[in-house]
Amino acid sequence: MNPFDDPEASFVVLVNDEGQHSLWPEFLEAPAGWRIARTAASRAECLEFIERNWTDLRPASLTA
Amino acid sequence: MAPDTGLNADLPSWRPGAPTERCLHEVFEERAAAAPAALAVTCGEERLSYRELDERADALARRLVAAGVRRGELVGVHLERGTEMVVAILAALKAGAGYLMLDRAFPVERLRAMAEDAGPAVLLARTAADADRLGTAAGFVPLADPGGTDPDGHTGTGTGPAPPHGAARARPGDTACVIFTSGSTGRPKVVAAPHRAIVGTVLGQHYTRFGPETVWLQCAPVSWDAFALELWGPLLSGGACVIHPGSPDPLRMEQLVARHGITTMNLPTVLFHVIMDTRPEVFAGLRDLLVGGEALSPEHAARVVRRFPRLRFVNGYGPVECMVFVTTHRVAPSDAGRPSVPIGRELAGKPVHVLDERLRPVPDGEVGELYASGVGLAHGYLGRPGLTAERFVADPFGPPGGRMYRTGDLVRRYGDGVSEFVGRADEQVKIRGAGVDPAEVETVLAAHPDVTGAVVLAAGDRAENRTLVAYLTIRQQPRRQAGHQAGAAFADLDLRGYTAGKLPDFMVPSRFVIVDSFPRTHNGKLDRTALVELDAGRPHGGGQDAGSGIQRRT
Repeated sequence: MNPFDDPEASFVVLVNDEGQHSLWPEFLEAPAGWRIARTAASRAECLEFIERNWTDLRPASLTA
Repeated sequence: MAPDTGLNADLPSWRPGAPTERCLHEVFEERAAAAPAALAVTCGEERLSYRELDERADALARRLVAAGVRRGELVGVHLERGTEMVVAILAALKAGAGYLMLDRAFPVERLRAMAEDAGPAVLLARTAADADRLGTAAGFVPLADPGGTDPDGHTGTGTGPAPPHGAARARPGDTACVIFTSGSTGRPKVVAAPHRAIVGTVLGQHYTRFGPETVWLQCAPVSWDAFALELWGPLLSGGACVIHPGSPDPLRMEQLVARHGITTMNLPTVLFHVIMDTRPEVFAGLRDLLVGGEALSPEHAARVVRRFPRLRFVNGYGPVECMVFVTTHRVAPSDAGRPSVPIGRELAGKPVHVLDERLRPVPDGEVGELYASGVGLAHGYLGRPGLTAERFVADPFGPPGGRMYRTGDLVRRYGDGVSEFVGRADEQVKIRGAGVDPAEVETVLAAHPDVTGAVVLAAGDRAENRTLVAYLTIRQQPRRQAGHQAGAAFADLDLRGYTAGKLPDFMVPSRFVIVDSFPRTHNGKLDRTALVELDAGRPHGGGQDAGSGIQRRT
């Protein structure tokens, strides 16, 4: 199964400087340029966090 | 360190002044200035030179700005295929906005849902009635000439603020267009693509020829991403775009090739197969032929390159989310012996990775999932941050802060960098070249008042005969049980008409099969095999209502 699709796995939420969010499997190291915005939680909790916090899809630099 | 101003980390070769860091209309305006008299677009008897197209789009852009359209918004284009449609698209961009194609061939309910999901600021249509039937709060801007009066009495003023020129208003990272694609939750996904995604898929690429000497056929439905290539391929490179009126017809295509000297076609793979089998002479005058959207038959591919040795024949691969193509393969006669035609190598500025379940690159020759990054990436799905964040994910292989799109496609890459498509990792199927998530069709069917359950599966062993079959459980109603013939009893459900009223035609199931219940496996999951067998075991003709296509199985 794709590591992003596993409903039982633990995930984090990553955010880059553009404010873009990424679901991320907890067992993998976060790539450079991304910081952890939501520590380990269920997939559903992470998605809920993203829905609540990522309100503008556009990269931050475009709306500055 | 991630880029810090005005540009997007998705672009690995990103830097201020990079050749693809441009807006579509800005590049077009340069072409118009370089060769104003050259043919830009034609449809039927209509013809517009680059200068005419540019001037008309400027005038319409002024009216859009006067109507309140601003950078970051969307303009809905609800017009029949033709040169004016291209004026409208360009005007939306010049006004600083993006375009949303509301295909007149789509059912009204679908268009209404699209307008609701994408939320255009204004609709460009021929009449107020056209705009009204979409039922949105968006303002209506008539296509009529400035100073002229359309049948509904709307008058263009032509007195708005001067249109924004070049990139002064829109930026390369701004949304240029939104494209709808089938979604698993039953709601289509609205892919928002920036200017750079299209510019970067045309400029600096070598998978086909671009330039003033090219004449492209535009035949894809305007709501597809292939439309972007057929339109902007020529218009960003000084070539001409010949719009095929109506649905693609091989005889008409052959006439258009002869009349306009078409050099380049981009076809859905299924249509290519059909033309090769029925009217291959369509391709006789072409120099470049691109196909994509389905697995390409090696036999058809071998036949076209043998028959037309001077034709450059290219198999392309790419999801909408990455704009048209991320890999391409120029087919050689030596490919004939392969079990499948490769999807080839990555495009310039559009790196791909073949990864395992721990996001590690798989060794050459092994199957992995394809992840795509680079200039073609969309911003994501409009209004769906969660869905965006699970498909457009952090990229460990590109520049810091970059993203990659997980395609859901399984591929195998060989040592020479050429990849082969192996299959889908999820439920999506291709119907006539368009990706369809059966769950979306199931959701529509399940909303029918008489339907209690719906399962939609793909049937057909080849791309050409692949169709959707809907398996349904329905509400028991005394008046229907009175029917003495099984099929006839359910004909009045008119499931086909119901579905066709809500979905584009390629998503309408070809057959509807009523079942008493859905077979389950021992652990309670839907038993697809048993369901298909239930249907396969049907007696010929029995229990079927020919008119409705509805069958009953127990």
